Amino acid sequence: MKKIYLFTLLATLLYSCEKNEYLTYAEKDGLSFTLGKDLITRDSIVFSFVTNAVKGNHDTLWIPITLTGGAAETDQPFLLRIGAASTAKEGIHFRLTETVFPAHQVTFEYPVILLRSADLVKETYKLTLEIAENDYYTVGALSQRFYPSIRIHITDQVIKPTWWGFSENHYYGPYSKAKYLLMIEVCGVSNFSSVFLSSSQILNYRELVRAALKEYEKKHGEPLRDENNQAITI
Amino acid sequence: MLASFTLLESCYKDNNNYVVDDINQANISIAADSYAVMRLSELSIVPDIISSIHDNDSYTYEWKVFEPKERDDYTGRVSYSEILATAKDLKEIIYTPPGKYMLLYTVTNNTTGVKSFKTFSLIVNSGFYEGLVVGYQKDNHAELGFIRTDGVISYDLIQTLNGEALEGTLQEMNTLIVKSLRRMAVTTSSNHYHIDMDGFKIMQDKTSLFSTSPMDFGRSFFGGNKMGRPYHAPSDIFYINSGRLYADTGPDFVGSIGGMYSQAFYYSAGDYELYPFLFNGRSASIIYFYDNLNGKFLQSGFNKRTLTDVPFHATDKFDPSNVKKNAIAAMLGYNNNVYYVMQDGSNYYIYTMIQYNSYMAGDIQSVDLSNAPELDQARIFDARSDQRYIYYAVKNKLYLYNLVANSARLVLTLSASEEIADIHVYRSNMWQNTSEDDFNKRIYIASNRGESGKVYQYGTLEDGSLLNRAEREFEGFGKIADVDYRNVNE
Repeated sequence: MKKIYLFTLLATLLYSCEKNEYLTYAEKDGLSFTLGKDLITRDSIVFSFVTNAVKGNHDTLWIPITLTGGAAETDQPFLLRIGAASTAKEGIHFRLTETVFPAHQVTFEYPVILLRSADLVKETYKLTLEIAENDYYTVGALSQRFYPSIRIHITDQVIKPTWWGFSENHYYGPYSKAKYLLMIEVCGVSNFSSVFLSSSQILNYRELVRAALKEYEKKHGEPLRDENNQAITI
Repeated sequence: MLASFTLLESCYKDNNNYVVDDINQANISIAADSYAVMRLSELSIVPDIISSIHDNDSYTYEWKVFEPKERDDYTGRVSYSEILATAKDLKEIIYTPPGKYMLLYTVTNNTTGVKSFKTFSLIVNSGFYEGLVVGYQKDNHAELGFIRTDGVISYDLIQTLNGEALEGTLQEMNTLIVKSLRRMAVTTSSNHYHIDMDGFKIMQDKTSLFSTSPMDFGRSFFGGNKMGRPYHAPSDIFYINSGRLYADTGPDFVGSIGGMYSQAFYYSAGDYELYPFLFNGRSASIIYFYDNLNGKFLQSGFNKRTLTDVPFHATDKFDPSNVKKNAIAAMLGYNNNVYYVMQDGSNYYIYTMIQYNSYMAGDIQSVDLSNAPELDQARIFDARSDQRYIYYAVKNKLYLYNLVANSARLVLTLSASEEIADIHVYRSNMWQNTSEDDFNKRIYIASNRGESGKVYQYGTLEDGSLLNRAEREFEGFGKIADVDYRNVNE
């Protein structure tokens, strides 16, 4: 008898299988930070008012947020949380804007207002922003380019940009504060990322800076040196 | 028994049918494997479609053109494709940009879904595929005309095809057509343009070509060096304006053209004023220029934006850094050499520069002016590539200077009311990769009679003489300022 019950159960199990025609996302919609114009190579950015040639007392960072799931028919609120490791103070170093994900879109640029507080001249403050769960969204799909949180380092000092990496060392030589300030002064821009610039622009900027270094050396009889007393080359 | 019955019923049945039948397919038959058409004209292809089994099935059709990527295409551009028609027969006006394409004809059986294919090569020629560009003034503005090799003339192309006029008085034009480059630079008294040579469309002007536009536009030159294998194209495209040098990246070398000139080149010794011309050093990784301000040759490297002095090489026949003369003309000459016509007071010299060589300073010929009539008055020159001959024009006369004999003779006199505005020997330019059998067998002479311009096409003989009569005459232009040749796309 027991064996009959066992075989019947097995048969029932076999017939209970059904074909699933299409595999669709059925989980809760999610959001994650991703790379963009201001967040170029990874999940953190150093923003310096001085090297971004900001004239006023605030600036805006645009942080792309991307959706996991289907685009909504209406605008939907989402939630950001200021991470526990943050040292930047809301209202003094930054201000968050309305957190609403627009309808019919799967990515949007979220503006974070950065405030040029006087203490940024001597200190760097960190703002960690995290995707938090609410009724509409949870944390979205994550990978090398999609993050649950980002870090924004806010300062008014000359800081090595986050985009200055292996490629930039190849094009411009090793980073130094003096070299970077010279590049900004000579070229009139502050973003020399090889991701952001074309080959032609990189080539032109390099030669502009080289010419400026040559002129300096002609005038002063010795090369321009950086904060480590190394001759600046490019 | 119940268990056995259940197990039997749960087995998956193999319903595959291994009996194979022939299916009805479309067999496509077309007369030719390749087609060439001029853009904006109709292409008609009528294929024969024969069904393999019966004629009861219906078919849908698609004619698609796409651009195959060449093996040595180092640009990052997206290949072109478009669907030309969805009818059995192709009978369409071709708007596809000039170039080499594959034409894919797809016939789909509506009953079985089976597709049959046929491919062809398709060459779309520009209406302006080859010929002489004529730059002239008409009604107080600069215009361009085109004399196609088959004799068809087009006038006022800028206004006709762009709906706008060029600003200023036309001064210089230079075509640069090699591999993916198909443009011409036009400099007027107040602006600088890049023109697409397939359709004579204005691509850019000074507002986008310069980050800070020059204050004025004077004598100018637009051209490129010619890198060797595997590129066979410029690494940089150069623009000289009023002695200052600018550059952009060559798309077939760097991968894309920047779309904006660099800042003016830097010369550590100070100011410079380049004669508007350039030529290639060894493997074209060095590019040479002549500095009229300092009386010396200068050089730059590929993808560089600075000028430096030219070091003296033991086999140089003169010191390129110590010329101290004024260049009044430069041109490509015999055997890929370059000639500079130099003036030093009342004396004139022909400097021969050697391209693609470890040293560049060749012979210096002091011109015997007693045997070269009016050469000291000439400012219009061009040279042949098969002989050491230089043509020069003064007023209504054309002379032939023989470098070997160091003497010149008159080869053509136009009417007294005409004045020669420009000449062009039909020959290879510095960067093109194509060659023609009739290079050096004709010369174009542009002349003005008051405000009206005319172009003569004369055949030339091996000794440099012109045939007695012009092969063709092209009239109807305004006052001609410059001519340049548009070679075929590569």
